[in-house]
Amino acid sequence: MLDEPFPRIAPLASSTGIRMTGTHLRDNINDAKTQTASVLAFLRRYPDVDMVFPIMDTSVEARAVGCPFVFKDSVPVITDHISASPYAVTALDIPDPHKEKAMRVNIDVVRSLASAGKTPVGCFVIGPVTLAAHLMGMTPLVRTAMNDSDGFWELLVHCTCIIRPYAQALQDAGASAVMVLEPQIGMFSPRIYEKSIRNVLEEFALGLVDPVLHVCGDTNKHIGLFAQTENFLGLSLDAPVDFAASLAQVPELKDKVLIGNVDPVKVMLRGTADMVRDSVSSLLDSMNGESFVLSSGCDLVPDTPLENLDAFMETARSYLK
Amino acid sequence: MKESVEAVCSAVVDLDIDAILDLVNACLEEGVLPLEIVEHGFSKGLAVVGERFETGEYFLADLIMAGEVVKEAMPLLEAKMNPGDAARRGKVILATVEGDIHEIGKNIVAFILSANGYEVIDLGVDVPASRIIDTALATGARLVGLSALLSTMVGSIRNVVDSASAAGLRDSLRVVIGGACTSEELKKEMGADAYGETAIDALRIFNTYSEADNHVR
Repeated sequence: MLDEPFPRIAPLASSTGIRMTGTHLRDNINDAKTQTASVLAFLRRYPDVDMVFPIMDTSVEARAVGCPFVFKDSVPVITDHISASPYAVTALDIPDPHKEKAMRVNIDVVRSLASAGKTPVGCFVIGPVTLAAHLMGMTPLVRTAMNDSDGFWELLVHCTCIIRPYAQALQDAGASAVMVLEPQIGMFSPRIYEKSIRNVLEEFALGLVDPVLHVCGDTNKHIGLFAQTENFLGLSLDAPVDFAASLAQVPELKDKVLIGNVDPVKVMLRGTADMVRDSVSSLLDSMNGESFVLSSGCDLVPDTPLENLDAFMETARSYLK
Repeated sequence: MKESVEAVCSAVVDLDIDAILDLVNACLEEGVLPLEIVEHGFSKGLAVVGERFETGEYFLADLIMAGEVVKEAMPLLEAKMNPGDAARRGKVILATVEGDIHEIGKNIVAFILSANGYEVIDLGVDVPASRIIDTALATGARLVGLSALLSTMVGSIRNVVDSASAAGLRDSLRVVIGGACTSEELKKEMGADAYGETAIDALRIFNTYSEADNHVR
């Protein structure tokens, strides 16, 4: 997906498939066959996407190491943390992705999707900062990041050790791109990112197939540093980032494939089909000639109107003709 | 403002958790009143941090860290405060609204109210409206302070107001809002009774309600 010809199309929209199969999100999270059927239903409706993903679930890695969770509105939500101490977290065992159910479901979904058709399959893992936030809680993580740089570094490195075998298993199952989800990075200043996070991410991305860094929210202050972050081929960023303006301001961005960034809530969920068409057209126009994958700024919720997703795909298709 | 209190304010702004205990101790040794340290050191420092967050100079992690700096020193001041008769002014329920987990502003309000004779029932963060109303019914508290930092969660304030109405408490329950995303306009929009910009504002508002209620009795 991260190579010519551009633009490509890959909305983060697999969860809408549950509406096509009439299944519950919780069952899709818990059962690989149910989820595979939903994603395949999504693919039947939108066969010309350039990559398809499993349903995004940012709790998988934390659940696999024992964080308690509940299903809230069918979404697994971490309810408590392992320890407020980074050193307790670094003592955690590395889970075997083939034995932990949360991980196994997604591995099986990727394998089934990869063997089902011609559409390349991507996968999601969370990044070390986001996993550390799950395992420690946000406030202890912030205190560690700001006052114990050695502890923070050890913590992030250990988190990559937890995630890496899972990422490898997803690749072995057939994933041809790994999207590293780091929604928590934007909460840290660019100074902390540069000092303590960037190197760990660069190291983590080594060995991943077509790695993409995904950060949601407003990352305009970080985008220059993201552009300089090595080993990631793609950057998937949310709607607050103006790609064309950023490309003009940050020349290094030309070295990345930019992925995004139609607003997943204001446009895709709450907007009209006309708003979607306008948003997609103007984005494609502004990114003409660039290394660009048309997508949503973040994962679309299952309730996203399908007529809006239809408008997204139709506009993209007509543009590519 | 005294230099020592200014230093406390600067430590909050600079997120200097290593220095804060010594600086607060220095203030107390000089005879500075705890409330003065809270108002001119902590609250002023947090206001500057909030402004820097608004302008994009500071990030969410910096906001959290500023809260941690204040939290670090709070026990020192609590030990020096004279809470007086805990129930003298009445009971106040405090909560950060459902969907929001920011607590430092609420904690400062709790500290100041406790120090001024209120019995504070602190329900914590991410508190559903139903729990607030159940607590009001169970304890007889008729003063409620709601904190909200995230603008996406302001609808939770409306839920509390609506739940109070549904429980038949709306006329007797005073709902006061505060926090980074709140305002006088939001108060009107959500149907709350009052808006306080600072923790000291919150104290003044609750004092007004408390005195009015005592006068009625």
